[in-house]
Amino acid sequence: MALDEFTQMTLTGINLGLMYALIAIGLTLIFGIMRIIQYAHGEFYMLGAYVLYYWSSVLKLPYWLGILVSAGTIFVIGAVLQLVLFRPLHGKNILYSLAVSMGLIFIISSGGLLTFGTVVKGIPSVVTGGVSVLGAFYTYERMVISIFSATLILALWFFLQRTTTGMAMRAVSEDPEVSSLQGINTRRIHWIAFGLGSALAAVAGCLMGTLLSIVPTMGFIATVKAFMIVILGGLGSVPGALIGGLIIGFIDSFVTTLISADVAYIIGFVTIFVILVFKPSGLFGQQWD
Amino acid sequence: MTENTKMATGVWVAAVAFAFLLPVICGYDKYILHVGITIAFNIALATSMWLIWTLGFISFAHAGFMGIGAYTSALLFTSLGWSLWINMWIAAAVAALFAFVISIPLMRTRAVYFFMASWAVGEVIKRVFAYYRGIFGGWDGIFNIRPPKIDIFGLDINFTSRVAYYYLALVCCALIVFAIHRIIRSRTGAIYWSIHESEILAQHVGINVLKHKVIAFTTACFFAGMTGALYAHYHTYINPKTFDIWQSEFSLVHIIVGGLSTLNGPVLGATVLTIVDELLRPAGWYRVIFFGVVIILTVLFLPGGLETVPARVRALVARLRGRSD
Amino acid sequence: MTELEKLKRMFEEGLITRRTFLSTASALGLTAAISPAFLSEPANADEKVIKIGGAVPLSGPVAYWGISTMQGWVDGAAVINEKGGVDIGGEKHKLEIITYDTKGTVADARAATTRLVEQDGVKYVFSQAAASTIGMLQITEPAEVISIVACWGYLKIYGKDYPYHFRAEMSDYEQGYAYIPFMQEHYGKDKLQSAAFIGPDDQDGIDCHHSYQRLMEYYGIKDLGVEYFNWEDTDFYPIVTKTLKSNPDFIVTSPSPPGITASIVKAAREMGYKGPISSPAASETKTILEVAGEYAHDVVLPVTCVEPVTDTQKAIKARFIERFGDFNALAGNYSWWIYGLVAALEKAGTYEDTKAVADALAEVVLEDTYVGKVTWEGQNSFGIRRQGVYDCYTTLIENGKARLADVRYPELPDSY
Repeated sequence: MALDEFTQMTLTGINLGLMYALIAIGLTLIFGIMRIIQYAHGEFYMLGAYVLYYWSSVLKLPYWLGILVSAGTIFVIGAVLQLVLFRPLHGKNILYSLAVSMGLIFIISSGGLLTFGTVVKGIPSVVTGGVSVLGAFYTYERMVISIFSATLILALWFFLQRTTTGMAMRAVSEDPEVSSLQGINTRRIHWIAFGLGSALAAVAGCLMGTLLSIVPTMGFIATVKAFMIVILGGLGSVPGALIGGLIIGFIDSFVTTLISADVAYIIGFVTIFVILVFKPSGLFGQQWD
Repeated sequence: MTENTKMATGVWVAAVAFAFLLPVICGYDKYILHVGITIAFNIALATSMWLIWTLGFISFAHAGFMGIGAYTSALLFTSLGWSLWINMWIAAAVAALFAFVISIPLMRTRAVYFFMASWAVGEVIKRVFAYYRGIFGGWDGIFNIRPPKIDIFGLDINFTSRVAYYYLALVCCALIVFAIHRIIRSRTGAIYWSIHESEILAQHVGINVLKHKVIAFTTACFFAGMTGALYAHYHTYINPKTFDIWQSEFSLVHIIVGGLSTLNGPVLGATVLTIVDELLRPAGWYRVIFFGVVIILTVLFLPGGLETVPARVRALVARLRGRSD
Repeated sequence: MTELEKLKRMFEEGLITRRTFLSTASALGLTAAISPAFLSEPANADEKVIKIGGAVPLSGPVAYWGISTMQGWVDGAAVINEKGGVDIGGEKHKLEIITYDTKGTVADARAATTRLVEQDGVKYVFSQAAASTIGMLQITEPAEVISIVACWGYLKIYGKDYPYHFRAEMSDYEQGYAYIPFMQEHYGKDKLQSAAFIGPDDQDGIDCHHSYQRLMEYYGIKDLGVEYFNWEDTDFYPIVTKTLKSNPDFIVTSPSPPGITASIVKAAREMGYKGPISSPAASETKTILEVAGEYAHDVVLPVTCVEPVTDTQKAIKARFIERFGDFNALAGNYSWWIYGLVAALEKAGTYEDTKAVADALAEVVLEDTYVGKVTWEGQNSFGIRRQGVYDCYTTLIENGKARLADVRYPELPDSY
């Protein structure tokens, strides 16, 4: 294996991994705090990309502000959906939240086809050009996206560790009953967490959408990836989601380049299966009953 | 209580009798019979998935095991020329065998982790069918899987006839539902629900939890494999995409909308949702949206699912009567 | 029979038992309430009507193609009905289009087709994409129903054993006899001596790779191999890295939708690849320009006529925008099918004898459609003329700008 090829695979792996992690962290927050299965997570990823598309491609407004607007919009949509659809199901069998989120997938992705049209769209990049790194080509666009994702993940980590709301979120995630006894308003934490998680998916959608292309049916693929990563890393664990994201990103990059795409897919699932068999609650996860 | 049970039995007998008379009622309309066959497959799949649920978990690999059954039967037919009559049992046995082997490591995981691990199993099964083109025909799948014929006691039936296949599907579906009913009504069924309630408690009273989990999973996959064989010989064509995660998810939706606590749930859910889906067909791109709306509304406004409707109606009637008095 | 009547009948005949009736009332009530919104307008009782059925994906990932296909039929039927209808033996017949969704799956397509053939009594159906076609053919061929579809590859279910089955859309194989000669003229034969293929990891990808291999052999171009991607793939860097290792003169990707084509182009250009890239299935320029931006260069798009040239094309585009709110090149490509069928019906002088209509359809030649001249070919390859062949409008993207670069009827070999 030549060095340039190895560098290329590593850079692609990091880039993919960070973006996967961004989607997965949102999901793991929702999972850990609310203990529901949010199967429509990828739909927010799709909606986020479309908000940015309308903002920057149609209205021609500034790109970076668009990401903020997208995150804000999806935060509100997520919070409202939590209050309307998921709050009534709190404490009930998790299959009900699974069914509701499945219904949401049908509604949002088909509604997306109806409103946004079936034609694939693209968000023009704002950064162009690139640089040669150890024989591999690295575009500035990918570099900026990787740095942006990493910064966002760090910021979130800081938020969870240092701010009052963040600490309340962690408390609810660890023990909902005790934390509500301690005076934490768990209902408030729930909608904040749902909005925040969805907004993270939206940001990932914006970045992926710029790098690739967007279509109303792209959400499910993101859901699949996010689920693979969250389960791999363990439910409710932010570092787990980051490491899981990088593992899946590296498998996608290395195995696809060295062997083939279908083998990469099979290996991804086999890895999850094996990890779960030896560590039944993922790499860093909490045990559920 | 006994009166209720009696009534429930009566409704079941009436439903089965109605299903048997359906071809005559609908005037042998091939489309309605087609919907009927689809409903039979969906019921078989949903009830066998529900059997796993009685232990407290949901398998997303269910469609994968249906696929193993379908491919086994199809390959036996295309390469050896064996008919469905033999293949169906071999298909079910092969699906059960794979289920048995995989369930031992799989059962280490629990709750949501089990969902994901079983999803991985289902995806790998599907991908294996696609990857080995020489054996399974790759994404192209297998064509020309013919329905069987019967020629005994002067009876000569060709199951390419829609009516004949409808009865075949109906009988198999009824057998599967009845078998699951017997399992759940037996002592084993009580053990399953006790594991569902509390695994630790069940373990403490001396129940071998792992053994029961493995047996239930294997049994359910046996039925799924059987359904798969019936599916393959009806559609005459199968490919890996038929057995992907969505097939399992639709079965899950059937169970949730129908109701989780009794066998009526999956049967009702599969029947009603299949009909709703067919009625929505001309709605084009609104079809999927309305399907989603139906699911969400049922979960939010009909907790417990369709199976609770008779009790709700009775309660409502009682309340109305009470008010008028 | 309307949906509402059908629903009523199901209740009356007790298709739903009393118990389920009670429990499903809420769900079905909703359905009943919305059903009338989707009924096609009932035709006048004294008018003669020919029903044409569509079992096409209107939802799911392939909805783009399904909807484009449906638009051609709906628009064509409206135009023909306005002119008085189809003239069969001196009598005017109106056309009625009934479409059902298949979600792009085999089993669903079979159910939709069964309903069209058994309940609606249609004798002519159209479809889109391989999965829907496979499900459809099991019903249509035994029932002697004519099917007109867009389906590439799957040659097992095509040819003289399927006399009622017409494939109207040119596959990448037929397109190759137009765009490869064009590329050889444009870039020079010596600049295009080797090629590599990128396709999806499913039967469509495998079939398109087969088409590509036959073309490369015919034109004496060295085949450097194939890479398959997953539909679940998000990033094309790994696939393209692998393809570029063999250093091909040009890349063919098929059947890749516009978004994936754009991602492949972008990845290849970012990694410094200079040769042309052709995508016979994209049929779209806007997405590629948006996504690939400055990297969109030397992208060859056969059967892609985005900006109409002839009056017929301009009229079709204007009508589609008025009727459906938008227009794309694919819908244009599919818009001639109904005119072909109508010509066959008038020529055969019957609509009940589908065999006569099928024979007539194979002889139909349309001179002026959205895709120029149309004929049915394939006698030597498949033993029967059931493959639509027409003028190939090739669009070329250079330096971030798209232009119509070539129009030619495929230079098919004699053996075709």
